[in-house]
Amino acid sequence: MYVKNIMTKLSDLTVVYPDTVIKEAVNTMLSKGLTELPVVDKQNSFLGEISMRDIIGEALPSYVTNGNLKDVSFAPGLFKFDDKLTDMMSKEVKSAMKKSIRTVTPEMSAFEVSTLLAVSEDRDEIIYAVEKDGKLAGAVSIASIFSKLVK
Amino acid sequence: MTVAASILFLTYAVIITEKFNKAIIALLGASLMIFTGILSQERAVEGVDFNTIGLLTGMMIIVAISQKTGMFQYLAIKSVKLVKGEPWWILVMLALITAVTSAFLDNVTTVLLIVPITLLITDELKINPYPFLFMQIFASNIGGTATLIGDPPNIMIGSAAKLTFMDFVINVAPIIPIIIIATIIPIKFIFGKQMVVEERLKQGIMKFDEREAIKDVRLLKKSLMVLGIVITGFVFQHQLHLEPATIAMSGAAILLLISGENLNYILEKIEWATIFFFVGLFIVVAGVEETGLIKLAAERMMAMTGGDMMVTAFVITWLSAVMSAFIDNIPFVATMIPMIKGMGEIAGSQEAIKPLWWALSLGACLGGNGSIIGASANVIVAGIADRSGAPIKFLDYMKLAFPLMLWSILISWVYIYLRYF
Repeated sequence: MYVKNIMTKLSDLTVVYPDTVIKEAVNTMLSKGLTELPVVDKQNSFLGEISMRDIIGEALPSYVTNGNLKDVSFAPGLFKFDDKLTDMMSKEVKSAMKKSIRTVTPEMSAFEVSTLLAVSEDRDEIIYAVEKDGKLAGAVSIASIFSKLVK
Repeated sequence: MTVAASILFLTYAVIITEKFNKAIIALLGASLMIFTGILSQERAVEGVDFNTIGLLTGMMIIVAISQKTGMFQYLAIKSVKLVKGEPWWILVMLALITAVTSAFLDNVTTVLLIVPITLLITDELKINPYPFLFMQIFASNIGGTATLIGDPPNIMIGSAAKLTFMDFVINVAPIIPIIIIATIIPIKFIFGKQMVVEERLKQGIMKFDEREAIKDVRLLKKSLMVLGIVITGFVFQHQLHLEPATIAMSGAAILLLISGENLNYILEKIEWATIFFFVGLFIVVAGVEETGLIKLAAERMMAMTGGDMMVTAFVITWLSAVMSAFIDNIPFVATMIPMIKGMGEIAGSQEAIKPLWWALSLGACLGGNGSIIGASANVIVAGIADRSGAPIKFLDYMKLAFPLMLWSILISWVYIYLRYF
């Protein structure tokens, strides 16, 4: 079995563009029950991903995200975070998308992609399959392994 | 002698360029001292001051464990609420906490703990963090000067000159509160007007709950107990006939035992780069010392000042301050120590040169405030501030910091003059 056999094909994926407004992307995620979406250009070349996690990360102060302040349980809220999160919603996807992320090729074995999803250090919920010419081919999620591989 | 001097000069020159990690360069310099036959391996090992190494390592272990308790966050938030979220008084309180903490812990740890909280508070108050961070840099370096364990130069001086914790408390610490106040006053005049925030934002700060910051009450009690024992040990160091390194290491071992923390995890928290930097540096300086170069320099300096201790102390205070503002004060102090010892031998009395140690301590520690690269704590603060989108510019910082540093040195000099001459 290969990635191309178990992946959700591009035609069944919802994609966003770098100039999509974040609010719109988030609404799509909410309606589809997803927490991230692939970002492509008009020719469907893969550019990166936008995730709810990264949007929150952008809104958080850097001394929290890079671990200088490990514990914030004493602070019930931070005005700046609320403001910035609201602010983020009106920005475009490119301001919070992650560009250099790990991708796989459709020819990779399903076994290898399982190890990437479950064992490797930066665990992904979803890994994108990208053709050699850079075009997005599909996506493999933990769920794909169960629905397609284990039957 | 020329070879040794060249190795020393080359080592320092490469360290100053900051192209490579200074620990690597110091170790390379140390290797050269041995390869060129200036030092035998045995002499090289003898040159390493294991009191400094042991004290640094021991304190790093104690700090690595006790900072997990959240006690510093607790202190910071408690004090901020105590002054009702009033920005100017927050600045003062955080500066005092920084100064007192720095006197007992190393400065880098202190600012790593206090700066993120400060940024969180200034974010919540929607106020420029710069004055707060500026004051914290000063407070950490000034506070660190107060005790034997507060700043690496003091650790080195104390160990080399056989000065105890209480010697520093009696001779250096008294001037420290005055210098803190003398620094806060101009800061008030310069930044005081900016310190206005809406009542609503102050209320946000008042909602912070410092009790939430304490993660592990049992660990907190154990850490405080060990810190208490260690500091008591330092105070009675003379009567106990123990070196500070022994006290700190024993404290570290006890805390490791009773806290049940994972040893490997805690050992990873030790700044090994700093430790190896010291090892390399001690060997480099030992090599130069071996050739008699430092003794010669001491003689020259004594000849220049006519053997007058007052003039010598004056030169050491100001020279250390200006040098430490731009170069790492650790190699500077490492070189000055054998030189001052040499002067003691020439003068025929270690008692007569005591003021010179205080001059070196105050000059080298306080001088670090003069520029943003003057001390490691400064660099750390600038780094965090930069990533948080509030960069501290080299010249902007120096415009205010250098004169303020000179002001603190002037106060120190007047103090040394009045007290010892």
